[in-house]
Amino acid sequence: MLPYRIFLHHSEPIDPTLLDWIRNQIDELIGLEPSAIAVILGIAIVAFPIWLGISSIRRARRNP
Amino acid sequence: MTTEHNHSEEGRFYGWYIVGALFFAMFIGFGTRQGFGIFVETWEIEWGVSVGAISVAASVGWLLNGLSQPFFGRIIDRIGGRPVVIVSMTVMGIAFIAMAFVSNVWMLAVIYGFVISWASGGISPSMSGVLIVRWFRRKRGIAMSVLVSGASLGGLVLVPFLTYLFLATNWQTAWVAAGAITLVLGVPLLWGIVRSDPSDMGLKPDGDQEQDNAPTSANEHDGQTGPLETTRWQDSFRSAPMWQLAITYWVCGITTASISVHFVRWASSEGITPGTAALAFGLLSGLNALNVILVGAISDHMQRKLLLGAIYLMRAVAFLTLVLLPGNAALWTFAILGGGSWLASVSLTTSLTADVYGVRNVGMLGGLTLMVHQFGGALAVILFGIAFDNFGNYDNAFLISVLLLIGAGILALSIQERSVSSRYVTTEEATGSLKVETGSAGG
Repeated sequence: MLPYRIFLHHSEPIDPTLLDWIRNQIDELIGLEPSAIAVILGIAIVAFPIWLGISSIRRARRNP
Repeated sequence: MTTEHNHSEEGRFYGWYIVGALFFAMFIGFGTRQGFGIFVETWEIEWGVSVGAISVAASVGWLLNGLSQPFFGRIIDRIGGRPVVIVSMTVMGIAFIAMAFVSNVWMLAVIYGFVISWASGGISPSMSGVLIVRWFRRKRGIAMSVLVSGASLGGLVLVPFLTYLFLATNWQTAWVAAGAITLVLGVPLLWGIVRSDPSDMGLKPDGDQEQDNAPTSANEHDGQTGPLETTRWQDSFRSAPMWQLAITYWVCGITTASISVHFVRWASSEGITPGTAALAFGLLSGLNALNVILVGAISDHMQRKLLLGAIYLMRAVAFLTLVLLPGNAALWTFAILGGGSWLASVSLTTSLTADVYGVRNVGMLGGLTLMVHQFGGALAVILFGIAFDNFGNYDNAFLISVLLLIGAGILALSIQERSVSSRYVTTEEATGSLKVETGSAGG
């Protein structure tokens, strides 16, 4: 029988055990509410593309 | 020196902005797809379906993602990478939002299994890598590595983000947020920055000036035409390196997919707690992210085949420790050796393909090798499960992996890189040696 369940652990979905571990580490380290951690991680995620976009625009203005 | 002087005057080489934009595309695309597992339990309860039914959508998507690679590769070779990555990212963003409206397993199979998995093929490491190899020649290795590290970091950062958003709100909000980030930030970044070829902006690979790019020796070949380049992609398979790269990548797929799926189960069978196994896998992932960059940087200064061969042989030793060492010692040794030999094979294989066959058909060739990689992984996941069910342990499966990895290592080392890579020979020199080779083979 095709072991369907194991596909859930593959490269597409992250391993749930590892995910639990990462979550526990963040909880222990920061100890904030889920909404606060989501906001902090969200800011970290959007910071890079915004910085890259601004850098790219500045470069284009310097070298038209 | 001239090149560096011009870079300081005009700012950083534009190719690095393209690496940054594609890094973010991989970060979002791979990170969000890896988040699929977060919601499975909730869907089971809300929709009243089994985990097996939900898993079908995931597994179908995985295979479709592999099948999409040659399709996108062909398109990229014909019209360039820019439209492919932009359209793929747009479709993915819309589909992420559409996931919030999924209410049964059939809709899940269509939107996640087909649309998202297929579209994400357009920004895979191989497809994004096609853009990178057009922009970089001497720094191809490090540029590819930075790109590939986006996938690793995506899993480590975006999945916790989606998890906490899910805990704070609901699963629909998490998918809408992923879609919004993709459409509001990812797509404009690709649209504004990514160009298919440096010539679109009047530039040369690596930001070289006209005089810098003039070949002065075999090592100064332009890097865009490969010594074994062929007009038709099918003809690439008449030369040995294509088979050497495809077969080694197949073994790569077998050994990485099997561990991704069976690592925790193996640990349980050795009496190791899932938490400890997860910690070891986390160590492997962290070391891997660092190692990808390191290997990429080194690979620009030596024959890439040496690193590729070393990676497969190191992975063979890692698998051997799982058989020979006792539980915890095997776990941590494997995590360290595995972390040193995991995703680096992606950047090395793509760079070598471009070095040998040029950029003309690199999309199709990269797509085919990645498809072979995915199929090898799919097969291994099932066979490892069958082996465990029959023998009660993974020893036989691990030993076969060791043999396959040793074979892959030797095969990688046997690539005649100095005779077929644009980093060492011109097309004319390689064509001469190829004629001799095919002549002696009777063809």
